[in-house]
Amino acid sequence: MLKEAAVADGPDVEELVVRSQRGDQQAFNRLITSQYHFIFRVAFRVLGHKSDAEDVTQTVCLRLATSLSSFDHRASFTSWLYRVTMNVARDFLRAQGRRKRLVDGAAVLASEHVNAEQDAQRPVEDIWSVVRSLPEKQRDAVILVHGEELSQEEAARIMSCKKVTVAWHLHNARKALRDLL
Amino acid sequence: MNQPVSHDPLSQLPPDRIPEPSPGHVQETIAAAQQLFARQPVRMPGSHKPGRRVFFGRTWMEAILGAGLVSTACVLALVLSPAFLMTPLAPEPEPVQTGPIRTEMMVPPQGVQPLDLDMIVDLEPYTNGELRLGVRNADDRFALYHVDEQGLEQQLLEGRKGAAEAVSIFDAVLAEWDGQQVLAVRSGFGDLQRWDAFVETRFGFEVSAALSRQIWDAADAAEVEQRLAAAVSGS
Repeated sequence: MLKEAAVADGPDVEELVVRSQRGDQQAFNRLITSQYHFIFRVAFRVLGHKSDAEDVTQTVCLRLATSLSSFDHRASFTSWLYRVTMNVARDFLRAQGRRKRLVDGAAVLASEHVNAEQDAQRPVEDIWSVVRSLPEKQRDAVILVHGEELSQEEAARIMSCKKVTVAWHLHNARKALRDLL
Repeated sequence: MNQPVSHDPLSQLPPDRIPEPSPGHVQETIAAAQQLFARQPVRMPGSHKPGRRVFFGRTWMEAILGAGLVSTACVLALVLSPAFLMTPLAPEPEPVQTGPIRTEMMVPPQGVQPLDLDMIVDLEPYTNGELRLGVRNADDRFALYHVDEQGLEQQLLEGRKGAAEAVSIFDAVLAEWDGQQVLAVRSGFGDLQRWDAFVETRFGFEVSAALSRQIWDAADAAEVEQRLAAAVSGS
């Protein structure tokens, strides 16, 4: 698996999940404490705003407190938590209408930086903000594969699609980014 | 600070800079989650009480009798109402106005997070083949959910109800309509049941007022599919 996902997964975490599902308060305390930064990181990759990512992290943590029973261990806990977090972040974007603003922002960026020379100087934040403005599936594929450094196979499991579909989303993202950057 | 962008923009994406969350926020969130967990410990998957239903807080027999009386009263009241007789079934594009039940049903505004019924009541699961759905009943409201293959719940709709009633799911079918997948769900309580239609979009299932009007009083899943097919050919 990837280096950072190890923060969220592993035998200890799986055991904490099982114990939490049995109602073990101490296990849940450890679980939620150990997962906060993982959830925050994934949320930030999608949202690009610290306070928004904190809000989404809070929602995910509260949902873990009430809905951990819906995790049935068919996937790894990490995959499940990726999915939960990205779904909550997606809903957050929809709720805030922030996506439209991101797209608008990306359009401004694209119009302001039209030549390759300028592209080469684009700050990191700008490039990722353009990634965040991509259609959801493309954005998620880029974030999981190129941000989280997951394999396409693992990204496919999280996105509930086939590996070839992830590759297709990445292909489209690549084309879109060439136009936008 | 600045990093070059290669010809393939994905091959050399610079690492995203992840800030540190505010320590205060971290503590606050973790404490809130811990408190919530302590107040309502989670249950193991599948540990929901099968068939758990709350009808008037009484026994099944009393519940059945009570539901029958309430249903009869509601149907009579609506059928005898001049407004019901005079008004077309679907004067407005709101599925909530198409049938005799759940007239106060509310579809959550686009993008607004539901008020998290999942934080206060357990999901009452419903399965039909590979379809996994569920319903949550609180005092004055309920919500229907679709549960995907990874166990994630998506709220389909939220509505209001009387405190004495508990909404259940009675039937569901996944059908095709105009090249799209449509999830039709029959829910209600007692004899007061109706079908609602949810069209699959890139964001999941979203309620379709137009299709709900087409199918709300269908007798069964087969009739739902027939009506949807007719709706395509008729459109």
